[in-house]
Amino acid sequence: MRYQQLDPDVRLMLRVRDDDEGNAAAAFEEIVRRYQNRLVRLMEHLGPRRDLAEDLAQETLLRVFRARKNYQPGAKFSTWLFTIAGNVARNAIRTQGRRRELAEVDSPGSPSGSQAAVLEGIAVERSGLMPARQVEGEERAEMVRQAIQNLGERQRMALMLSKFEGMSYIEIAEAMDLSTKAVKSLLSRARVNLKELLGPYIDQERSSADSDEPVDEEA
Amino acid sequence: MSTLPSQNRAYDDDDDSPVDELDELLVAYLDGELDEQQRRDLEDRLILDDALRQRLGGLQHGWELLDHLPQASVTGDFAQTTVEMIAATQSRTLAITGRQYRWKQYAWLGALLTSIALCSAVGWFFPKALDELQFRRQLADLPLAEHLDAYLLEVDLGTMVKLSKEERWQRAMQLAADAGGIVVPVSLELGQRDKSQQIDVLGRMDRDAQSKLSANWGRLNALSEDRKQAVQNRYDEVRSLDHPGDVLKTMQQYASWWNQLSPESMNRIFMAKDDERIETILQIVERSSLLWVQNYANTLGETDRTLMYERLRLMARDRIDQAEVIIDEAKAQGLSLGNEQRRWFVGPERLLERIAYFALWNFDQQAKRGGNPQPNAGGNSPPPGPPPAESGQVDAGRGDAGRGDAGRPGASGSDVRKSLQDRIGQLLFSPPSSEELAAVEQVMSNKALAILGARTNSEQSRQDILWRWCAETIVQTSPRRDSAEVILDRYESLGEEYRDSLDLKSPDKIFDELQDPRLRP
Repeated sequence: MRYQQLDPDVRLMLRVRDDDEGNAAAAFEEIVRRYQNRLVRLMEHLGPRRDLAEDLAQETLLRVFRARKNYQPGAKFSTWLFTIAGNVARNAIRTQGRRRELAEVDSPGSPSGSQAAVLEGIAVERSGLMPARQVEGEERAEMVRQAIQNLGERQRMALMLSKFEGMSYIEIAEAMDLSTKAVKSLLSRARVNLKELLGPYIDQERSSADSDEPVDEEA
Repeated sequence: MSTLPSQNRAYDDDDDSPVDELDELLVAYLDGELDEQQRRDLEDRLILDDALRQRLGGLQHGWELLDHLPQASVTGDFAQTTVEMIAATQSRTLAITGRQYRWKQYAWLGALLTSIALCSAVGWFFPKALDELQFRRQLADLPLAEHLDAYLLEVDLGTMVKLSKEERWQRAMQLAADAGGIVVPVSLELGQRDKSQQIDVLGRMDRDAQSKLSANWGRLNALSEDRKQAVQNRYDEVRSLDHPGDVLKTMQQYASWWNQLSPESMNRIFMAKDDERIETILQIVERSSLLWVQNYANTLGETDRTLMYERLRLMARDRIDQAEVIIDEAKAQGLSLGNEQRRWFVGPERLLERIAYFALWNFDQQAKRGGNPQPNAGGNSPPPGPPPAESGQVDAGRGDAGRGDAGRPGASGSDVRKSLQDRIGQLLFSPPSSEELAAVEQVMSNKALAILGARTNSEQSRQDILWRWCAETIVQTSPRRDSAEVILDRYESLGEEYRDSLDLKSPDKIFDELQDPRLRP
């Protein structure tokens, strides 16, 4: 059985490509529905700004549609889609970078600022000044988000594909046009960097978990 | 308190830094990428090694924190707006439903449908027969609309028949098609199809073709009755010829070409005697061919452009190297260049830009004079910031770069220095030699070479055209490296009048203009 007969996304994309029975739009809309949340999440972390995530996801889908006639079902559809997404995000970062360079604006809190400093600020505030306070909910998410933003472009991409898309090293290598060895190194660096960036928080959570345990038992 | 990450630590540029092998192993373990044996070995070590377990735990915990990121959710109508956006930006209409698809494909029938809807709204009754009649009339007009420009040509049909058999005309038209000189739409041959086939073809047309056909149909209906009848007559005449397809194609080509002609050329064709008209047309189309070849620089493929630029960059690098050798030799004799000349030693990209802009300026001057390219002829000044050619001492001829009389016995000190400057200037800034251009040709595609050779009847004209292509390629490919600060400084250093004129332009245009190497100091 050919691969595309197994992968429903590939089958949908083939219908888009071949305009099967005039249902290209319906098939493409189904692809959009399947991937919209995943693409937007990817773009929130890969793109230059979170508020551009939906626009970049749409740009990715537009490129997929434009390239439909050349689509060859040689790999998983998601691999192809995320390759395009990576390119779109990279271009957006470059464009934003150029604009920033020209405008020479480095507004506080913008991605061009020192995100390591922002992250450190959060870490100090949370773990240093308010040691007893647990970082929770949106604050915790923001901290993790900042940590991801501090990773290099390629590390971020590899991390997102591995963690959230569950892609293997081989699939990530294909999506990013790298060797599997390079992917292995990227992910190692990403994990080590994350550990360092989130170190204070990890320690805090661990110690908090340790101190909670007896209380729970007494309770 | 736990250690915080260093503020100065760069996490975003370390992709190539060495990775700790143990970390790599642990990460691969967590990602399930180890084989059975490696996994068992590592687990054995983990059982015995507390520190290793801690290390693994740290890596794992950081990873698990990613689970705290909220799920992304899109706005409710994301899928719908995405599909609509794509439909709006695509030339090919999306088939949202079969019915909608057909409706969109028949956009040219919009006027008819609108009128039907309008009439229905005010209570008019349209018999089906009338609807069908109008539709048939419209279909019947489509073959006229498709080639309206050809049928509107005010030219003797016999001339078109003769032209369709002329090899020189066909060669020129082939070149026009290859070099993008004129664009002749592919004929749908609607005149040779029955109604159902026409409907089928219309259904498969892309949006651009539909729009054009629709516009032509509108133009046709806007013609006076006499004019419309003339179009119909011309259509019938062409259909009655032996090879109607060939003649119609020639008429289409002629119509497209005609729009490019200067009033003088149009006049020459009009005024030519009947027996000289074909020759006049052929002479003028061959002149057009030369322009198409020259302008092909703007439509060169990306690969050609990239390879040509790379070869030219090597040429520039080589010239700089040679110039540096000459300077070293001169230094050994106690000679040195002046401050002004030291500024010539820029990188190969900047050097190429200077040569190219000077060449393009020369081509412009040549076009204005209508003569051969002669740098600095006629007392005009080149654009600001070009090479020493502005002193009028660089020979525009190719192949003599690097010659000079520096070190010539008997010359005075200032003469020798001047001679050295000229020699270096000539070496750096002269147009490419025959050998350098031959090296560029080696990397060009067969298509580009075929176009280059199509209208060049001598080695000199071939090299002139190739040099023009090179100059355009350099200008279009040169990396733009100026920082925002430099650009702003440049803007501020401009005269007030120039700045006022710049301010009226769009930001992109201002940016482009400020990057122009001619404005560089």
